[in-house]
Amino acid sequence: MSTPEVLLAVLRRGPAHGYDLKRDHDEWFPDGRPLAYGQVYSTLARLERDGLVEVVETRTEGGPERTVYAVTEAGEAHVQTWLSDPAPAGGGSTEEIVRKAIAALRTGADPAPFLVAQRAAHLRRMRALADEPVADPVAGLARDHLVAHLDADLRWLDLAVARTSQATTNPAAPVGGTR
Amino acid sequence: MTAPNEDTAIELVGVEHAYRRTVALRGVSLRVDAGEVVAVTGPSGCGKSTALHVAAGILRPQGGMVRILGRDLADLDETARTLLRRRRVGIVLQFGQLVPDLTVLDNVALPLLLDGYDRFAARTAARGWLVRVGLDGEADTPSAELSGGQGQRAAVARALVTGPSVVLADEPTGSLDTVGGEQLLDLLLAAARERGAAVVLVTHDNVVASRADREVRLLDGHVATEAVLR
Amino acid sequence: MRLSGALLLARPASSADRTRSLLVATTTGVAGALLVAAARIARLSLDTDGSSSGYGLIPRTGSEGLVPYVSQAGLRPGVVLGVLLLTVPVLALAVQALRTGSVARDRKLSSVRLAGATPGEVRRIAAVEAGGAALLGGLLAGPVYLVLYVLLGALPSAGHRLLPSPDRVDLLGWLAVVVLTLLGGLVAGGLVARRIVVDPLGVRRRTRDVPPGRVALAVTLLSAAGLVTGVTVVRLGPAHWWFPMVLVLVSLLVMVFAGAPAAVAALGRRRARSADAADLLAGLRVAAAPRSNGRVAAVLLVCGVAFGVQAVLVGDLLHEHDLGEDASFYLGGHALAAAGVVVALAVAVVTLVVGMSDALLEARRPLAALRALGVQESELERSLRAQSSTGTVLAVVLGTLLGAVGITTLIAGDGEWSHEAGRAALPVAATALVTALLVRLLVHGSARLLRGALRAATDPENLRVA
Repeated sequence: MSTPEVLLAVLRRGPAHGYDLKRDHDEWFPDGRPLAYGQVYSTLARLERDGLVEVVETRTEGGPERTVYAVTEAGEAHVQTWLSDPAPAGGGSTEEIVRKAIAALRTGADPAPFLVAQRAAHLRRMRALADEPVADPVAGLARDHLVAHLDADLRWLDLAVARTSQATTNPAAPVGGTR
Repeated sequence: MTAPNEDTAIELVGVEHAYRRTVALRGVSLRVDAGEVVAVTGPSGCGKSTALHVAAGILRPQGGMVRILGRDLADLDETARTLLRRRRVGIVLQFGQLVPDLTVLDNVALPLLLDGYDRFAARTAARGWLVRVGLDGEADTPSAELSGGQGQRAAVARALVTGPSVVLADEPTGSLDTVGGEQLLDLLLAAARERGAAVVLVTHDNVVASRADREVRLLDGHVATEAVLR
Repeated sequence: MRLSGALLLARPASSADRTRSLLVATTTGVAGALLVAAARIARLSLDTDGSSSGYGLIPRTGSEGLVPYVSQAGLRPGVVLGVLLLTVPVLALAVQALRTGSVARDRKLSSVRLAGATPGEVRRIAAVEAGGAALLGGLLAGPVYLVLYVLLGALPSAGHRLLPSPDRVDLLGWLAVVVLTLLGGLVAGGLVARRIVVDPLGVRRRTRDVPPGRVALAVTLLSAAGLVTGVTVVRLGPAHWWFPMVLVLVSLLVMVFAGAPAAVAALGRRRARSADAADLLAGLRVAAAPRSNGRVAAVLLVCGVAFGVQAVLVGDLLHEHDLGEDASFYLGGHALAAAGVVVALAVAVVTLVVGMSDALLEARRPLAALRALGVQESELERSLRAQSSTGTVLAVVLGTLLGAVGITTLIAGDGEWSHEAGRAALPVAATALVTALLVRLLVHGSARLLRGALRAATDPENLRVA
């Protein structure tokens, strides 16, 4: 799972505390499972331990203590690497693709290189599958299922390209801009 | 004159073309080596079909250079281009290539008949290809009465009947169901591989594109990205 | 390619193709027979000794009981001219027949080209196709000429015969017709294939007629100038000088045939500005393919000119009260000429029907789509009527007026124009009205005739046609 990378991506937009991170994350993936607070704080702790985030401020404004986190240089590099690396094609990577694309779009990074690399990775995997001989029709069926899902991913990537390029030619469109 | 170098099957350099009101190609360069399978993909209206027509030499572009099997098309007159295409290039278009009132068999035999083969030999060869594409039952049907998918099978049979060195196919499986399309594509690629022929597949179907060695993606009349898939 | 290959591809495959070839052959045959007949009549002048070269009213003995307009050398050129003019609408019909199914044929030739036929091979296929029909027509000209002779030369009683009996020289005429039609067919076939020859995808992205261009405009203007010059010379020049009359006629023909498509297209565009859907559709269709209506309008305009001329002459005749026993001679001549023009008019309407039914066939997909969108069949029929009357009714009225003004200018001496015109006004107006009504009736009748074709064209099955 790529929750640490997504949280890093959210932090790229500016320092924030745990509550903001949870809220922004849930806003990015409105149809996904909401992030649990416990998971947010444990992830932040691990990121801090690895030097990818740092604490920039601790506020107590008449309530519970609030720690504000920011991305470190190492963290920034980590996100960049993550974004530029296509998700493994096939087998449960679907959500990963969506996470990367959304993260790239939300933080204002150019999504094109990621989308292109991901498309090539998928096509390569499909080609490899087509080149492998199948033992029997049933084994073929399992592969057909995989190919169909890869195809669905590719169509979604195409859609992402079309929508984001529409957004750049039409600045009034609400997609792709950061709030 | 030395024989042209046929290592490069198709070469487009800076090809530009516009229809009356729409610009279709804005400087497209594309190179397909002998034996290579290239998928040309992209959204509707990106210029895929136009690029294929240019590569086949059936559309004369307004700018740029086109080479087929090492021969610069600018050096050939229309008759020479047509003969080169007839003997060395197999073309599968989306529609309009079958002569409506000829039978399916005569349609497939047509390139051979035009080349002076006798009727019997041409029809025998054509019948063999009709069997391979699964259309032998429709040999005597006028091609105007074929369904879209049958028309595509017949077009593939005709493209392969001459044993071409280059096969150019525009959405060759667009009117077929998944299994039928897969079989036809398998047949086309196997026939090309057997002869070491180059194949250009224009398609918007990812599964078809994934069969290629390389994907060239067009966007708005230019090559946006290229990816090696092999 | 072997010739057998060309024949395989050129042979008429569908019944529509066969009908078309037959129509081309028949019309060419009729035009050829008319030419042979015109030559036969003209040759009478060579057969005769000097005795019949005057204006004597007594037919020469031995001229087979021919009608005086033919037997008298002075009147004969008029008859020859009339027969020659009659070939014009027949040839227009032949051209229309040659053009029918052209969209389907263009598509066929283009697919043959895509299959690997070279430009030369496609040209040969098209030439064999059109040449075959034309050759058949040329061969038909002989039998048709014999039928004409039986109808106009053998059956009528002595003194009313229009055609002398055929002689051996007619065989030469027939041979000439065969050669001419064959050549014409080959050239026409080559021209038909022109676009596909250059560009195998030529028909794919182009469905409209190429609009009438500058050449047509230049030809129209040039022939208009020729017309004016001819009329002026006839008025001022020495009497019995035939050249300016020929110039007037040829200029008129060239002018109307060159100018009609552009004029009809303009009328179509005007009609397309209408708020009425049927008018809008009709106008757009005429504007997109004005040549079919243009040819018909051109023939109708020439018919109108003939009617206009006759109206003035008959009006003139009726004012001379002392016609006496000559009346039947003069009026009979006019009746004969009028009959010829009516035949021409009928042929023009047939041309229109052929053109319209072809247009329906070619537009069956959009028509079926309109029907599917909920446009009433009656509305489509109204649109069809509007389409076929665009330019046609106007042409015949315009022609009548043009002919009347022209002949008045020619026959009126200095200062007599207004007098002549006043005298002619009533018969000309009556003629214009009657011919306009007649053409309107014929056009609407033909639209009715096409109802079946329209219904077939709007069949939802056509939505599947590529």
